Amino acid sequence: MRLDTLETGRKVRVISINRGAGAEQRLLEMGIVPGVEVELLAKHPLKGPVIVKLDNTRIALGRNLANAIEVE
Amino acid sequence: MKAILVGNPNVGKSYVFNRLTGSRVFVSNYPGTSVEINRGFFTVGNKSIELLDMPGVYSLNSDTKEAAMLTEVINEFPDLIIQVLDAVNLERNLVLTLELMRANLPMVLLINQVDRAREMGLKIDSQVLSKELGLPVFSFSALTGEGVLDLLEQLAKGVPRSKKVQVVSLETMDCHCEGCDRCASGSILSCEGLDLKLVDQARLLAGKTITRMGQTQMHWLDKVQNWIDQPILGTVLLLVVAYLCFVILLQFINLSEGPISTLLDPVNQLISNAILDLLPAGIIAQVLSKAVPEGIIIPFTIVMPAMLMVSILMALLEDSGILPRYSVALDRVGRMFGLSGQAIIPLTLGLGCRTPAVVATRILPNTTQRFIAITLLSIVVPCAATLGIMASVIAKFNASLPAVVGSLLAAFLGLSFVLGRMNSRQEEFIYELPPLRIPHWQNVGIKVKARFAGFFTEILPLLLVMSIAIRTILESGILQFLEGLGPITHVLFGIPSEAFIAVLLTIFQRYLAPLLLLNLTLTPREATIAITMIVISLPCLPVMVMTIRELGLKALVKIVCMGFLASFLIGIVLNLVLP
Repeated sequence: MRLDTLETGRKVRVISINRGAGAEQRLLEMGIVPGVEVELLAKHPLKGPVIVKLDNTRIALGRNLANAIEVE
Repeated sequence: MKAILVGNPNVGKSYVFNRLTGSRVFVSNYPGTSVEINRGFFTVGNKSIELLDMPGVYSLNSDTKEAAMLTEVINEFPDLIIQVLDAVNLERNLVLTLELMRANLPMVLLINQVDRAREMGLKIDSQVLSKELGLPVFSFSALTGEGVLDLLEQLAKGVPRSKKVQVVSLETMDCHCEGCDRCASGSILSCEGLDLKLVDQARLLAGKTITRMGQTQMHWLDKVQNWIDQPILGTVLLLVVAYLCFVILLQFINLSEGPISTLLDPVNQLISNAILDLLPAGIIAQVLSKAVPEGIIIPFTIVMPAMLMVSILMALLEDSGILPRYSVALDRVGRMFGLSGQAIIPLTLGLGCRTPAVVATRILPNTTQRFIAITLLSIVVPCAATLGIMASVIAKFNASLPAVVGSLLAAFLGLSFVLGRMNSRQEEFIYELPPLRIPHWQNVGIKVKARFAGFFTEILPLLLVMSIAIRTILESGILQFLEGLGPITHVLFGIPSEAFIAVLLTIFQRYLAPLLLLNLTLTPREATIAITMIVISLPCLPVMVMTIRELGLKALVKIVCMGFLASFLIGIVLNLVLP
């Protein structure tokens, strides 16, 4: 399942990050790596950004990036 | 001895820097506040330490200017690395620690914001981490000063070199990441496989260091944060806050103008009389007796309240952590214009003063976006001083506010739409949202003071000098020679030649130009067109200098050409459209 298809409020584990989104390096740096648990806090309408909670930070991600994150 | 202060963005490096060196570097609550290296000194015992506050990075192999800067500084072998870590996000921060340890330099870790971690029910054992890594580690709170003495003591004793990390042997590590062409480039740091090993190691370390003591207490700010981070409700709340800021600003200018001019009137009378008494009667005395009071009253009644209020509101938005939230809420709107939502930060800063705003465009992901943002800042974002004077011109000539604001908006939309075509490939939005905080009054005070100081050091003297120059020009009758231009400016823009001179004056300083207008007799229609052409035109000199520094001369020439083009186009259109 992809991160951006989840309902808000769900807590999931990241399985992998698809290549080609152009920012996998930046996702890794920010701590979005396979194995971590993230909570989807908000999805802005009209394909706007999503906000995820990771540990104690909130990270805003573009929709395409969220779509590149495979979660279970 | 040279030490560098490093860490992830928004962990409080600049706070630590100010604590140690007694400097007053700007501290805000969003990632990317410091985009340049700050330098300071402090002494421990008989050692004098030069401290460099580096811009925050997530990783040494980030594809960013900041990471390149940091790598460069580390390659010069500083005598000490001080890494600041965020206590509540230790795991991610430790990845950078492990990367830094590869440099094999003396290193100290400061776990900052331990007070906040405690509130969240986290107990952090710096001793455990210190043993694991073989480095001095201190619990630290730059806010309360906890841990400062421990650090200074350690620095006096000397700091051991970091050992090579035990995670993997870099040289022999085979990279197996699929389709990875980066390993071949010889840059072992950028290989994803290695990164993940570091992440695992960091997770392990964080697990050993942190103990959870009971439940996290829900702070009321967390509740507000949850509301504000909701898509619809949050966007509405943010728009309400923005609207309130503008109302407060306008009301403040309105209410303060009366009392200030009442206070200044007798002073000005005195100055005017003194000049007439002291100087021999003649043209000079006549010019000065009018120009000096004018040059004082306008900055004080119009520019000063605007600058003061904008500085206060901006500091509050920055320190509370609200400002970056606009970038998320407005991301979709920004995308239409080729900008990512982050652009809202420099553009808002531009409403205060555009010079630092140009520097703040560094938080944007690429040069194209920076060019777009700087162009918008230069041409269509009025700074506080311009806003104040614009308001006074509109009030004096009864010019049409809707026409001016509408033109500004149209120019903003038009320009960004055209520029947006340049940026074909959109970078993906990724931004860490800072936690909401109550702004610290002392910090707000420091910022307001620093930003407001420009009023006395730059704006007041400039306006005074220009006021004298403009008075001289008016009294000398030089302007009559320019009347030959009259027919042309009348046909094109519907304004007299003197007003057109004011438009050209924007080359020097945008907020100076309206001063000339205030001395002319204009109809409301003429004033509307002239002030609009002035507000939409050129970057001021300081902004030009910054633009050359940031993007080069070629970019500046493009921006100036676009500025004139936009200004003249708007003038022509208004001349055709306005009744």
